[in-house]
Amino acid sequence: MARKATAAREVSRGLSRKLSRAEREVVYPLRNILEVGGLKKTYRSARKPAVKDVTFSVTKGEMVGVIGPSGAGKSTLLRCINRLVEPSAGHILIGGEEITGVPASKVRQLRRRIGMVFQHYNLVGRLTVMQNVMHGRLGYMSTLRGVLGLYSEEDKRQAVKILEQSELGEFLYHRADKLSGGQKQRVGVVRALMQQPSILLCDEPIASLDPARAQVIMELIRNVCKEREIACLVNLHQVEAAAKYTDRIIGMNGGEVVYDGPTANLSEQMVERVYGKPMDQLMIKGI
Amino acid sequence: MESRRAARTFLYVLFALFVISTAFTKFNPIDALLAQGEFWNFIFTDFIPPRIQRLGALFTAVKQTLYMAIGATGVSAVLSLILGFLGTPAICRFRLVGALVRGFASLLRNIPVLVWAFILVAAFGIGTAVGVVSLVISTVGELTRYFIETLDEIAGENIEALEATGAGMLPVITQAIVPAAMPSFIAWFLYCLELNIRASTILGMVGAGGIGLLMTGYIKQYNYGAASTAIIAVAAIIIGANLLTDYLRRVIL
Ligand SMILES: Nc1ncnc2c1ncn2[C@@H]1O[C@H](COP(=O)(O)OP(=O)(O)OP(=O)(O)O)[C@@H](O)[C@H]1O
Ligand SMILES: [Mg+2]
Repeated sequence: MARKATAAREVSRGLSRKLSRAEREVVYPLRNILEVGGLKKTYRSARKPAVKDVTFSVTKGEMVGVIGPSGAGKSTLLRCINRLVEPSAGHILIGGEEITGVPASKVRQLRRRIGMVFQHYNLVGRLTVMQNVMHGRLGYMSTLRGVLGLYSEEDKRQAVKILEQSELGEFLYHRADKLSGGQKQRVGVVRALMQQPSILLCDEPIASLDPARAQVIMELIRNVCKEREIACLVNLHQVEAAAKYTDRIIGMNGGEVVYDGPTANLSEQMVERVYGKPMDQLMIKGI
Repeated sequence: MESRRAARTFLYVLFALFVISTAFTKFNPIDALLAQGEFWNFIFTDFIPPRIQRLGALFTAVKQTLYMAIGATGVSAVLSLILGFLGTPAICRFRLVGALVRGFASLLRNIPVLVWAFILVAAFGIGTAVGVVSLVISTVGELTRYFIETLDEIAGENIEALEATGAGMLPVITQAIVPAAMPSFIAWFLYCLELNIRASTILGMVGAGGIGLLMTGYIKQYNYGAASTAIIAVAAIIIGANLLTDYLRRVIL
């Protein structure tokens, strides 16, 4: 335990050298699919870091809610994990493999195992549900097959199956922009699942949905993560949703983790500390 | 209060500019009104009725004009597509390339097509090829800019979602960006086609072939009746082009 703490502290100083395998095993036991150590991100245009000194790990099938006020660094944290944002310092290991500081081709390879769900769904509106969902396979295909969109029959069958399971079976050939918000987000989740991810990153997946639809989406995400043992990090504005659907909560404020523990242990005082204001002043949408 | 003062200042400035420019050009609105009689006289006695002569030459010229516009717009679309992708920072991450493309496009665009035609005719002589090249030059300038604007708008979200899956940039372009951008691409293409059909009728006047060349020829020979037939043909081409592009817009978009 002490060794782990020392090593973690070293990592958090933003060591630029690569960890040796022995060190890595102390700091990051293998059952942890995701390991973040001493992560720091300072945007070029900003003076203060958006994320600093963030260290945590996530195990298979664990559902982690990331909460915090606007600007706390939740999105930045998620985006560092699949390197949509380039971390300034620290380590991120996916299944024991370093994703920071590796070349672009290697990043692409690692990203295949990291699904992402967006607040605004980020579907191609003019394409069908099926076509959007198939995009999740592009990372596994050769450039030529990808450019031509030659998806394998096996992948297509898989897509139909998952779509039917998520009650989208009758919309396979509907244009994505003709769907309701809740349906769009389900397509977004299925696209991520097509990657056969071991990690799922959800950035405010229900922020644009009404409570009833939000509930459906959160249940879908929770169910698939439990079923497939996917480690899930989900940014949420609503504390209630986090309390209801997650196993564990990471509370952020000013780029730092101020709470990290089981959801059941999250007290009102902790929530107030995370948000920096009393509970009854929090703008909370019911769920 | 602020805005009203600004509006008044603007009107004063406009009036002052009007006075100054009329003084410089010695353009006198009253003279222009008085000279109307002469002008209409010229139009009615010399241009009307239109004389139909050498119909074959007329049709050839109309065809040349249309080919010039359609060919030039097609070639420009292909070139602009390539330049558009290279010039969009979210797609092509070599900043220098992007800056060069955008600078190049704005250089082409900011020199009017007539000037290009004039230069090229001076260099290579009269001909439709020169017309096509000058249309291509200015259309590439225009279209590249519109394509970059379109791509910039849709690129962010779509690229991000697909890059996050581990897909490379080329599949992202063909599988997401192109389908998303297609309606705008077509709309801009049709817009440029329309502009080019107008432009190609005028281009003839500086020697780039087609109906414009025929028309200026007739005018120079004081054959106003025939010139007026050519003018009617020009109007017909432009109206036809408008109807066609409107129709295509309705069908495709
Ligand atoms: N691309 C960027 N360039 C510069 N600064 C940025 C960028 N993205 C975010 N920031 C800044 O970094 C800080 C953290 O932003 P981030 O988006 O991670 O917060 P968040 O917790 O996701 O907030 P929200 O709840 O509003 O989505 C903010 O101060 C933000 O202004
Ligand atoms: Mg955010």
